[in-house]
Amino acid sequence: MCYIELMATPFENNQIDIEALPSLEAINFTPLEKGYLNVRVISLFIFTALVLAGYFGFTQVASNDIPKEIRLVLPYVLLVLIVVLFIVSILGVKRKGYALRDRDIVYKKGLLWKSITTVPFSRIQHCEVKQGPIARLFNLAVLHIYTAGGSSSDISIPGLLPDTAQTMKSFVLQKIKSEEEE
Amino acid sequence: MNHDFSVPNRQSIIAIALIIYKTIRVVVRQVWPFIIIVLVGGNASSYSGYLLPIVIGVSLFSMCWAVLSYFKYYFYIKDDELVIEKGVLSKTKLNIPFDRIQSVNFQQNIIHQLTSVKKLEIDTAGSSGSEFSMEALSLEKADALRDLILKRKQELTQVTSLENEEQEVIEAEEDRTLILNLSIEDLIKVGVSQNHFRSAGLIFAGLFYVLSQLSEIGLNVDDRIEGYIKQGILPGIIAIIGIVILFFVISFLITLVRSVLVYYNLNLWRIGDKYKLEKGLFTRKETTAVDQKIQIMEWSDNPLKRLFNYFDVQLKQASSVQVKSAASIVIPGCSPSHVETLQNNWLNDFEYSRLDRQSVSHHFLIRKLFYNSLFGALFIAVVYFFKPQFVLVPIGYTIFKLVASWLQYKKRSFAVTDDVLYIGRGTFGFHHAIMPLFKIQSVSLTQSLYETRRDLASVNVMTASGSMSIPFIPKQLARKLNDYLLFSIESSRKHWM
Repeated sequence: MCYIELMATPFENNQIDIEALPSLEAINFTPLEKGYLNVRVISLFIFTALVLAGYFGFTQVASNDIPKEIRLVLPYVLLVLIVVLFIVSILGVKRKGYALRDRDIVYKKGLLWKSITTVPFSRIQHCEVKQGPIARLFNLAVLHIYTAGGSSSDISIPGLLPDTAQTMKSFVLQKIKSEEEE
Repeated sequence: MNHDFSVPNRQSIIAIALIIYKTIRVVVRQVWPFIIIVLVGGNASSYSGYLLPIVIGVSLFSMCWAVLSYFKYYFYIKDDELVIEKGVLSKTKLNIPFDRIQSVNFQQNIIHQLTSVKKLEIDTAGSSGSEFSMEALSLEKADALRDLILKRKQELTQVTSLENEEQEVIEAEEDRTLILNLSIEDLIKVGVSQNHFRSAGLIFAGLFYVLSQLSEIGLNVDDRIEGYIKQGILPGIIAIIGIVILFFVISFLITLVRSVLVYYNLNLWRIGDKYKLEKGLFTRKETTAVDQKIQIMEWSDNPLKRLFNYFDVQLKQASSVQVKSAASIVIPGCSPSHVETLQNNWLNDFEYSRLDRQSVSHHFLIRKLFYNSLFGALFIAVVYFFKPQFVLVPIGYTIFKLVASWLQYKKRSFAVTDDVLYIGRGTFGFHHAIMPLFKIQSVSLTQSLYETRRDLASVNVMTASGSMSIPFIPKQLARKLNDYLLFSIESSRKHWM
């Protein structure tokens, strides 16, 4: 890898028309596979089961130490939180999508807190395809893209068919290689 | 003097003393509450019966350990790799290829200085376990080793990148220019203008930790203090005010002394494409930062620093997450012209005054005020309900937070030039950050519910040494900024490191 900019091309300094730049607005995002909704719902059920188990365990052990008002209100608060979590996650699945462009990979997500993250191929450190136990049941995989910018800068795209994930991975790797050679 | 590094070398014999010193320090750090108990007496002094044998045992053990590790530690150079062999019980062999070495740094604490040896630290590009150190090398040997490594490394890079005709020849030590040197007067100004509230907080936390450690092993500090109060040594509110003032005076003095010790005779050198920083009285530290490795440059002040016309400059280098703190170098006491020199060395054609700085939407302020008043109201209500005599504390805190929100809004700004992103922030002091666009790792456009309703958005920029955000700007502008940043990253052929 060379540090100093190669001056192979003739020097140019044209004015850049910001309006003419490739825009996020023009992107058609590919939605995730339908089966991903099932994965999400099952993980939420497991999470809920764990929370409830924790709650009952806690009330069994420490029921005398908790004031009566809190003991009465707590189950309803938990219920509302879990229902909200379910609604937000299920609706959120539809908002997730990804797109590959010539020079970068874009991933969008979020219902209440929307975000669109773009990682240029030239900044990708490595990428890998993973499959969790629940995702395996529905034949789905996750593509993780790692950069040097730490976890906030990495993206992971869930709900992909394993073949699609592998194809995307090799596409990305080949892009990284060709960018390095340039 | 010529040194032959192709045969196995040992460290300087002083290393034994230093290893013993290190072991004892680790042990003392673990068991200091017991030591205090034995010294103070207290109700747990029954420990002192077995203390002596333990001390003797630990000392003997650490001495044997130090001697053994000294004699089992070799280093040599073979095939452009630095090889280290070490290990008393389990043997380890480390091969560090020269081209992976990022920098070679020296450190000297008081023992090193008295015995004229140096500690050598080698920083590599790897992500985990990326640092190696040699406890003690004689001064000439350390310099010779470093020069050899750097020279050979330079030759290697030249072979692999012949296409770069502009490749610079290795800078000899004479080619360095001194950018900054702190005189005693500067040091005192730097010490006085430190953030004393923060150091007071740290001292307070430290004190709290000491007390909790002591009471954990049976020395009841609370009872003792209560005893003093009952005896009339500490009468009431005046004593409390006195203690608070005394506390601040002490923490002020401690920060002052600490800054003088840490930054004593600070020299910042520019050598070729890197900076070298030397500082410290008892522990003399030497660190380097290479231009390519620096991702973000920050300069900041506070009201006191502004009075003295000084900035603290921070050069943030790319690093793995594990060694974050070691990777940025902090240069205190930089005058505006020093800041400018540093900017111009790192970036071509950057001028702070030419920046077209834009502020963020006033909704940024409104939302901050909203959350702070909501939280403040809750805080005040809770305190009023349980401890009405202290209600002034949350009221004062809330007013402080509201004023701070306004100041933060006034100081938030951003600017984009052809190749640099600038972000300004701060509360009482100004905090400026610049980064070349090609060093950005990824960009994300986010919208909270509030922002969506007002047609606003935030742009977050991630680099290899931290992320930054431009919050609450019009959505169209955010999109354009996002597109422009990506265009700049993707059209640049410079490598970010």
